[in-house]
Amino acid sequence: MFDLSDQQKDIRQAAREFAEGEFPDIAQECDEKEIFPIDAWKEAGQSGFLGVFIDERFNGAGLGILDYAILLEEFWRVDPGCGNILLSTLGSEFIQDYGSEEQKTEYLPPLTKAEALMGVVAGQDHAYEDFRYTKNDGKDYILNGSSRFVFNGSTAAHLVVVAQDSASIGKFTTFIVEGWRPGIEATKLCDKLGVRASDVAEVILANVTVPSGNIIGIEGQGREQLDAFLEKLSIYNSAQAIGASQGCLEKAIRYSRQRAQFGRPIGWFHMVQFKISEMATRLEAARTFCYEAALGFDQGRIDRKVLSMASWFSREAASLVTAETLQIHGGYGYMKDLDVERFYRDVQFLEFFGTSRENEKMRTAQILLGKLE
Amino acid sequence: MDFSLTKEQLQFQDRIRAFLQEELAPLVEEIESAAVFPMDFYRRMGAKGLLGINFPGKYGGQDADVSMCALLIEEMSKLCSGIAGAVTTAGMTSPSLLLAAGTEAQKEKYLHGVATGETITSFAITEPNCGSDVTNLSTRAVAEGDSYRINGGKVFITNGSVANIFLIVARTGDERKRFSVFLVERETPGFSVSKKFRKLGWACQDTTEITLDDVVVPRENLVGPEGKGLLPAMAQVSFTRIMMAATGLGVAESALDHALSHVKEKKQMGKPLASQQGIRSALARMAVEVEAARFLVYRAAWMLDKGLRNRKEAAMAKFYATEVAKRVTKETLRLYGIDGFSRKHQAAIFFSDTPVFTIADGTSEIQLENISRELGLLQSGGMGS
Repeated sequence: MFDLSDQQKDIRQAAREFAEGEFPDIAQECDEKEIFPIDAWKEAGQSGFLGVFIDERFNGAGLGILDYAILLEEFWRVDPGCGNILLSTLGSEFIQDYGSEEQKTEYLPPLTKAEALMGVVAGQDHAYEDFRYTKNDGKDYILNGSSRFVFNGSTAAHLVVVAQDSASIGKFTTFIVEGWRPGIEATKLCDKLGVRASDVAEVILANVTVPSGNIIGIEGQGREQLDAFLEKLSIYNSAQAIGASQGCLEKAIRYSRQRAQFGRPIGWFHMVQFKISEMATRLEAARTFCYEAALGFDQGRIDRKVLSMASWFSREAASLVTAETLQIHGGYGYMKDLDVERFYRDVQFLEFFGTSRENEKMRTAQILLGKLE
Repeated sequence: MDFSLTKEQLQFQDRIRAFLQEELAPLVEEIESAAVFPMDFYRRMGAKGLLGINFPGKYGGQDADVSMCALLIEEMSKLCSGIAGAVTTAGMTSPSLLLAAGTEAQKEKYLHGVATGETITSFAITEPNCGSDVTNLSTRAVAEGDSYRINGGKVFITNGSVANIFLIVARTGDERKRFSVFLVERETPGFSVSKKFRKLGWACQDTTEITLDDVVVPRENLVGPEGKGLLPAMAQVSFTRIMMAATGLGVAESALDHALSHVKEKKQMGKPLASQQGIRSALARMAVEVEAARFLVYRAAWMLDKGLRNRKEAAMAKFYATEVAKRVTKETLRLYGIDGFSRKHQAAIFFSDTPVFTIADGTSEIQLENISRELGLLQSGGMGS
């Protein structure tokens, strides 16, 4: 429906082949045992899939957010947990968009080569309650605080932390916090419901001291940077939702054709047909929103309204599509053998990865209603 | 119209709540993570007269009606639907088939054991090719003089690893629904549990594949008439649907309670989540659905107790209460955010348990066909019958 460029079609094809080659054999085990797929991550690095939006000068592919969205979609289509190896660069957006040349040179290339991961707090409550800093004569900054939801929190080499100035509420600054600094405590969140192949950790910073050179951008720019990052997350979670939905729709179609009851394939029955139709429609609409929003980004015309629409609509669609796919598969859909119930769990991660659906809807409403007296 | 519970029902409800709070609530976490049948708890239920409550007194039961059975399952499901399902199918719904269709000798032999908790029953009908469509059933029982030789296999059998007796539905002829039910004791040669399924939820409920390899049972083990074996099961289908509906209701109520507490306590930017109208209104909607589900469940139960035909109402209750359970638990998980994203968190357990509710005991789609049939919209064909 959406006209992608030839290059983007090639990217999609390459990503699909990679995911189909690497994930199916390991997905169940990574899910069962909460293992990060290191080999697949390293392969992805070698194949150029990591940090595609990073500038070519720093070993990235210099591509746009739409290209990254396509990768996320294709990887999540095969397996969301393994697909999250593409989030090994999470937080690098801050450095790419606001960092100094030195910071980019230091921190970006290792991410693209699968030599390091980066972590960042990625929930919408972030920065209001999580981390604070105090200035120490303008030379050092002392960071304190904790967050239960730091993506890659226990595997990241370095963390990007947006913290609030203790002396000036409402003022935020972004810091790079290297993993070797004393005072960092990261505890992996175990027994996750979904995306069990991904690392999420509680991170506590206790008097972690960083020099002013670790500030990304300028002091006080944290809120603006965080807002920009959350906008990108709206595209990411939308693409992930679409990928999961696509994977499930294909499973549902396959099963509806092959499973026979009452003397015919169950796809013969209208109730099943309507489910398939409705799933496909929601998916296509979500995809159009997502690509449109991403294209706008790449063309320098961010439409905040479309971004919010893409984000909440795609996630709601994924929630419905995964549920209906499980239902279509009947009893077998409920069993772990079949790679269906995992998607149902995994998409729930998207509900708190980025801005909540409610906040996205409020954003759209605010834009449409304008200033109210 | 008097919508209130009777004095007897209220007393029963109080009694169960007290029992469950003391005996089940402290064990739930342990039973869920051990993922085994709660044998000790099951025996204690037997000792308290809470198994086989619908059996007549002479078989160790309480002559309880359907509404009482629903109250029991509802209360258990609020704590853990996996345990509720395991226990009630072992000690109430499956053995009720014996009650409905068994010979006096069979009832005398087995029902007392069910009521005390010594006997765990399992009902086996589903096969890989026979889910919603029972006519595909292929497990076969061939008459050989005074016995039957049974060959075949069943899947998704609850309590397969622990049951003493299995009620197996097998084909005794080639015609469309020429089925018979056989009582097979676990130790019978040729009978085995060939696989234990790993599931999305219901971790503590044992779900297995069983194999029958030249299992020979005496003619006395035939339950109900030969060749019309599904009739007794169908006769109590309203009962089993209402029990599944009560399971969904219990979970939905519990999830709603959790969600209500959560939005009152959890703060975002200094204010409780409940202060956001968007969240409040979502909870209000959930409360409406749960209330409606409760009415459907208990009205269907009441009708059955009054001897009124209630196929439609039982199907409606099952359809609605289970769909509501799925929706409410999904919303509850979403409200808990990162806090609820752990397999050990109650919100995640509810979320993982409910998807099977709209599949087991007749899928939602089958229930809609059943309702259509009762509404006179479907004379023949369609799905299920």
